[in-house]
Amino acid sequence: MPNPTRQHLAEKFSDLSWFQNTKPDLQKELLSLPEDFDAFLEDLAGRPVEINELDVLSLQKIGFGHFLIFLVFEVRSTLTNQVFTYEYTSWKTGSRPGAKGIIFLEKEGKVTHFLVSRSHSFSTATENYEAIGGLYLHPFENRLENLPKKLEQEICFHLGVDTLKFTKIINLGLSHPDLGMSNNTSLLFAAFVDISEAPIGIKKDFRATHKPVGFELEILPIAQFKPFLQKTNDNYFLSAAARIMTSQEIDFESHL
Amino acid sequence: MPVMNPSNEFQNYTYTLPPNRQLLAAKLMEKNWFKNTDLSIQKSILSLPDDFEGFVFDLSNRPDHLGNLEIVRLQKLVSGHELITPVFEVYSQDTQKTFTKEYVSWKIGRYPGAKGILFIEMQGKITHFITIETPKFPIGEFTHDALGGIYQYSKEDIADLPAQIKKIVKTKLGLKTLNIKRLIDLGRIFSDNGLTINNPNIFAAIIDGQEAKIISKINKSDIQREVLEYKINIVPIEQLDMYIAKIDDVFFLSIISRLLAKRIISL
Repeated sequence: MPNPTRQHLAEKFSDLSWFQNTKPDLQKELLSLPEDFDAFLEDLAGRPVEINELDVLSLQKIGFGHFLIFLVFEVRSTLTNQVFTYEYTSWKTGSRPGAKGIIFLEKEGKVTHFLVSRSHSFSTATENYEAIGGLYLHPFENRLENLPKKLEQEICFHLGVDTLKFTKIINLGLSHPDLGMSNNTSLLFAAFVDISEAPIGIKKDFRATHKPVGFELEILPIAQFKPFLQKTNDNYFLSAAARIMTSQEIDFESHL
Repeated sequence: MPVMNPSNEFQNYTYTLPPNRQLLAAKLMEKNWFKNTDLSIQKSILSLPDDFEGFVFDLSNRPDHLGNLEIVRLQKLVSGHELITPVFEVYSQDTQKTFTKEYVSWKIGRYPGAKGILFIEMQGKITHFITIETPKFPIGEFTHDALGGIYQYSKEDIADLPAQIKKIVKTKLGLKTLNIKRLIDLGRIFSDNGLTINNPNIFAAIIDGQEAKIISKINKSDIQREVLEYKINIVPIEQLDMYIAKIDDVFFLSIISRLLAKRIISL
């Protein structure tokens, strides 16, 4: 049974010169990627055939796992007339893989703490402090759509509340985490939770009563925010921090 | 998970490898996940081209356990000319489920280079910063980018970060000489730890006004061809907050964050 989405994509691809110049076997391989690669294919079909002074000639190779895909293109520089290859990687879900940000806690209108997640990253094989977020997360008005349930439950538990309510969410704009390697474009955000009525603090017997969820949540006093920027190596946390410090939403100086 | 013993075929195969690959083979064989990997994939790792040595070295350091996750075996390996993706089978002791995890690496491994921002100082005060705009192939757009790039290693550069950074900046700006007054090593960052093993250096370099005059004179007729596609902007420091809002390059933003935290710049 023909897949209408793929037929539509095939039509879009057939208008692109680099696709026309790609070997038929590779054209077929691309169009028969599993269905959950649709968003990636949509992005690919929307790519320009000319990037500044570079003409994209053909697709030479694709390689993919269960989540990631990379593409090797043959390109020609219109400055030097040299032909060479360029490649990049993408999530199968495309170039907009969710959002990352910082959650701040405030009491009577004053920011008192911020949250960080500590977990083992498979890619880097290290334990890292990082921003909070997810592949399908989207800041929307005063809620974080698709906030992973286990993350929400963990925050609620630590704050001693039944439901997580954000008083304010600031969209801090887009970010490209690694422009040389991937087409990733994630949203950055800052979210605020009022804890005037909540008794916060990490419970000492926490892990005895709650099963591990793959990360540990830490609640740090806002006075540690700037020193923490030397400690975390997470590009997203550092970027959201740069934007929130520029926004003047929080008076960091008064906490030093 | 049970662990396989190395086959005679694998042992015999390693004798055919050059000495550096034999060392890496021995190191990989200390890992249970490598022992459990199919012979054909074991061979494809060890027969990657020489310029993938950094990636193979990183792989040889990958532990069998990450937190509560056990790495069972390498299931698949896909590579281009510059990038490579290993797909692993893993077992979670928390959920008691088996699934796959993968990441992408440059062939030269986890430490591919350095990214930074150049600042101009006059009479002891930072007055300007320099950004470049360049076409970025992955997103297919002309955009702002931090200065820097992938190291082109030479023997003397490997242990000399300032020399390497100076070389990168000179190449990017198309300069024959560049006198950096002060280089601020801002450590390393993970560029996107859900996707890649990448862990480059970030830095800020301070030059004086005289050096900046050389940069401001750069035009298309007198710079090297490879930098023709860059647009160099020298921006007054007062406009920094505007640029933080408009530049989406996470390296640029991370550098600013560390500089603000160190109080080297202020808004």
